[in-house]
Amino acid sequence: MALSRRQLLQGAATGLAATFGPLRWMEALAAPANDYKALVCIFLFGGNDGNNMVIPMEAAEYSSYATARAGMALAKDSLASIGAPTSLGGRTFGLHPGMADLAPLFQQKKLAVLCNVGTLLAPMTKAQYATRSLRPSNLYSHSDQANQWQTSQSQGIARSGWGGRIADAAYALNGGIAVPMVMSLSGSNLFSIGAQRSPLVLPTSGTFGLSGTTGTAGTARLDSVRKLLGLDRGNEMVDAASAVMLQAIDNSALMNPIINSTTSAAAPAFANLNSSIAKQLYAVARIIENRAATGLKRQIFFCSMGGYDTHSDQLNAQTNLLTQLGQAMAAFAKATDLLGVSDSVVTFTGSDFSRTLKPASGGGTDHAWGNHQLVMGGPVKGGDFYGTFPKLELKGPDDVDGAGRWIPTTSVDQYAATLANWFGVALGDIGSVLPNLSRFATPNLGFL
Amino acid sequence: MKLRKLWITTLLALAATSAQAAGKADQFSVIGNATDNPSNLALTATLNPAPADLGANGSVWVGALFGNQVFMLTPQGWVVPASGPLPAFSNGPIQQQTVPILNGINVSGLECAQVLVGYGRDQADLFGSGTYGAVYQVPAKAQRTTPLPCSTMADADIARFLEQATFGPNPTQIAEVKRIGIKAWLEQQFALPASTLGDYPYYPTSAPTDCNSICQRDNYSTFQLQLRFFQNAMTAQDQLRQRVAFALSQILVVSGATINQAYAMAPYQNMLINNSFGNFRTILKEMTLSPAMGRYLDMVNNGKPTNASQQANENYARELLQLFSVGLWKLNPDGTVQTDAAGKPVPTYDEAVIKGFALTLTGWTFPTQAGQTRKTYNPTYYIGPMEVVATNHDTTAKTLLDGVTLPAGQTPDADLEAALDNVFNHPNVGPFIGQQLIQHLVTSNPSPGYVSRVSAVFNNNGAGVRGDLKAVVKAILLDPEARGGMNTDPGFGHLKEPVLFTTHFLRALGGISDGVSLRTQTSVMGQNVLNSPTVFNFYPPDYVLPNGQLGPEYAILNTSTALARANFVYNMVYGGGAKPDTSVTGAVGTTLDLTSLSTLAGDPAALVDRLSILLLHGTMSTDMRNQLITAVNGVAASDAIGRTRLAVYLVSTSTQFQVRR
Repeated sequence: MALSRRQLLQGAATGLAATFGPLRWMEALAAPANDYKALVCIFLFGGNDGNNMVIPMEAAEYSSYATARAGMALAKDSLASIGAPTSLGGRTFGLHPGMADLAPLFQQKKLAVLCNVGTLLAPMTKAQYATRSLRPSNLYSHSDQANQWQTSQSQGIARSGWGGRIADAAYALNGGIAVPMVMSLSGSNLFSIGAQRSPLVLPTSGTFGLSGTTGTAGTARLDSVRKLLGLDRGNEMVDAASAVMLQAIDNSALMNPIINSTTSAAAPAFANLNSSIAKQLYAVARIIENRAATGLKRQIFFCSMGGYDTHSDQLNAQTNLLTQLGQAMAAFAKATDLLGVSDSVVTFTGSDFSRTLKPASGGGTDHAWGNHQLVMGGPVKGGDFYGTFPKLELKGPDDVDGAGRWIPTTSVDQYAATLANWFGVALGDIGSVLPNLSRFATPNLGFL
Repeated sequence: MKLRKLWITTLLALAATSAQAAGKADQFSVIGNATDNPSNLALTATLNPAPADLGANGSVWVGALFGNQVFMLTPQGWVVPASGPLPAFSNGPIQQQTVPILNGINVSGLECAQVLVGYGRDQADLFGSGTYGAVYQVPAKAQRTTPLPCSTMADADIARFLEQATFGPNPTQIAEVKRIGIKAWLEQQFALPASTLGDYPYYPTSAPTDCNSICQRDNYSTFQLQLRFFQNAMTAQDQLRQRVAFALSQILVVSGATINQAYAMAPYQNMLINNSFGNFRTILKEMTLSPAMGRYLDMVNNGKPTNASQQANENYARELLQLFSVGLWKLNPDGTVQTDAAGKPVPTYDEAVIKGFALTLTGWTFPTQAGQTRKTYNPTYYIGPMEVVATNHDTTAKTLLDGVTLPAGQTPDADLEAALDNVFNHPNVGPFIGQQLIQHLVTSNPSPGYVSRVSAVFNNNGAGVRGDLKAVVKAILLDPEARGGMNTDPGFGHLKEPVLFTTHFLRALGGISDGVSLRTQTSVMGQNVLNSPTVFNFYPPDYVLPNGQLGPEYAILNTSTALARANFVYNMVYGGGAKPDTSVTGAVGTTLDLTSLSTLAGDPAALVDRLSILLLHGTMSTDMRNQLITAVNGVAASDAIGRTRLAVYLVSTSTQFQVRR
């Protein structure tokens, strides 16, 4: 039978509607939260090479790494040592030298490493990999793997991400406020889109206002714009655009002054940082700082960086990227201290996939799979590694094809569930946010 | 099958416009009278060209467009020209003489009965922009017994066609299509010479120390190319070529985020412009050997694995298959996904095929710069195709698509040609590329029938040629789904991306732009032209709307960019636009001219109706029309420009304008 793309989508839609139907009912039962909590996602587009972000320093393990990595290996004495994670029996590790600013946070137990996490349908062995049936579709494709990371759906096409769905499930914690719980400082993305609600996408600077809406003529003009946006809603294409514009206008007066505020208690943390990710995280800090104005008790933020697809010149390119990332994350940690919210904010990374342990021609690496991620913040049980660190060996037990591509030993579903659970979604309700979660033994990985 | 009778009693000369220089319009006369036998037209013209009308050596080309068919007059009579250069009527000076016009040519099968006859100094002069010697047209509708489709097309339908085929309709072009019909207009467009993004001088990879900020901007970014892109979009005559090239540049992406030198990027973009009506196989090869692509996706200096600790670079191999040719899933000719017995989609290839292509594409380096010696790994240089380094080519056997294997021991060239044939001849290419071109030009959700009609033309242009993009473009734009009443379907159409949103707005409203402001404004709206964030373009072809439909361009429409769109309109309408940037040679800024529109301001309904044609190709609903008239009436009648501005602002910021149907 021929199946059209559209039918595929409609199939997915039906599945989602059935799965997420009970959310409305959950909302009705929940009460507004008294405390404040925020999740901050930093997505590293292109596939960050985790093999060079977290490196074993114990002699035998480092030697195995250096042999397989050949020209891509980082010198041992260049690494930012983080010592021995609590539960790894004295094995020592280091971070990429560009992330030196994050090493103290690990030692202060405000930073944890989640090892070899990735997109999975179910726990998988090497033998199962060979039979193909359980493989996420289009493994090693950027678009597919980034989407699967953000949706936690590894086959078929998802229309909502787990950030958006956590917000759907936790909606009532904000007491029915119409201001969106999810805000992206980095454009549109699947992670932020809920099954029921849409995110606010904000610039990090510049205006979030609508020009020419003051004075008599301006008021009349805005009134006409609103009226026109209410017309012709029968056309699906027009309707989709109108919904976005109405949401923008509705939130403009609240958010524009926050985006453009020039005084922030968090400002000192970001002094001298000009990278895009620093600007995004500074904007997040300002929005959190103004939580009394927004009235939000729960917020989810999306930030991102691009450029991690290091097929060539990786040693320079990744150093530049991870330096920006390390500095910006450390600054954000400091900002949450300055704002007095360090125990309320959890920051975490994601990425399309990791990269082959084996180098490719051109001084880079190719697309791989299971990857390490960082989780940062006061609520994090830091100074430790979670999950299983892979054996850095070509054709070793974790490698699927000799290029150094790890089968993930922890799923994105579990990672997301742990974050969602801390955020306020009860474990019993998380199945509606992460339908695939029940296939994994441990729904909460314990890093929060 | 309709047989249209041509009922010609006389040929009327159109009034000469500034673009149609007067002075070449010699006499035409009708020898035969009105005839029911269109296969035997008997018209003559007297050619008496002035010296200025003659080309080199006094040569002259005489041609006719009859409907969509090009005829050329040769000393042997009228001929339908073969491809290649058009034949001249005379290669030397001619005396005044009488020539037959289209005699003996059976025109009964032609659908569109409009005739253009002219002569010129050369081929480009004849079919080029605005220099027709003389343009003649069949009589007005009232003088014919049978209404003819071309000249009876409503302005709104023409505007809709031009929305799909250009960077936005303007009053001049609406009149032009009305005069000659869609098919003739398409043939004109196909024949026009290409407007490129220019050629730029070589600069070394690292800027010289005396390269100041202007030098940096002009040579170490795509700034100059972006200006040319917008200038072409605004005013180039070869609009259709520019539209198709723009679509191709968003399917076959090379980004200035990596290729950030003007001289490096220009050859690649110009290649797409030059091949927009060429063959897709040619594009595949020129793209693959482009040093800009080579650097962008790491095929350049991709060496064979020399030992166990290194593998061939998979980057270009993967995206060549996933994005540039066949896609991830096996497709039916109508673009639907093939499924296996269990109902699961069937992948087009697996990791072994990626590895096979990666090995096949080893052994190429940068072009050798003049005066330099070829090295195994040439230094960075972007002019000319990549060059072979046979010693760096892997010579093992390789696995390609659909079980094809390349034998061991082949040369890099032989491997390359075989691999590109393997890709080009895969049945996915027609529906995969065809559907995306439809999405860029016409609608986000083409029916399977539409896709299958277009992919059939991709597979065979009617003359046994596969991959003929001119035929594909024609099939896309003339399809009943593009031309018919589908635009009333609630899911039809597509969101205008920032480039089309801004250029349509300006072109329709008498605007001008040197591109300086537009490159910034469209970037704020999420489309930094020629600088896509990744090889996946600014938006993916399979982005899904909340209702489940595809809506690629919606991937960059969000609360932030939606406000940026409205504020762009506000600044153009109320803020005077952008002043010329004095650091840019020939800068004119970006401004609107609402003078002619404001003459309608005394009659709000007329003003609104005109905007409906120009901006909404006549699709404005009664509700919207009434709302706009009410709003415009709120401004005093004495304030003509105020009324005009408000009407333009409201229509241009409306989501009805943002969505093209």
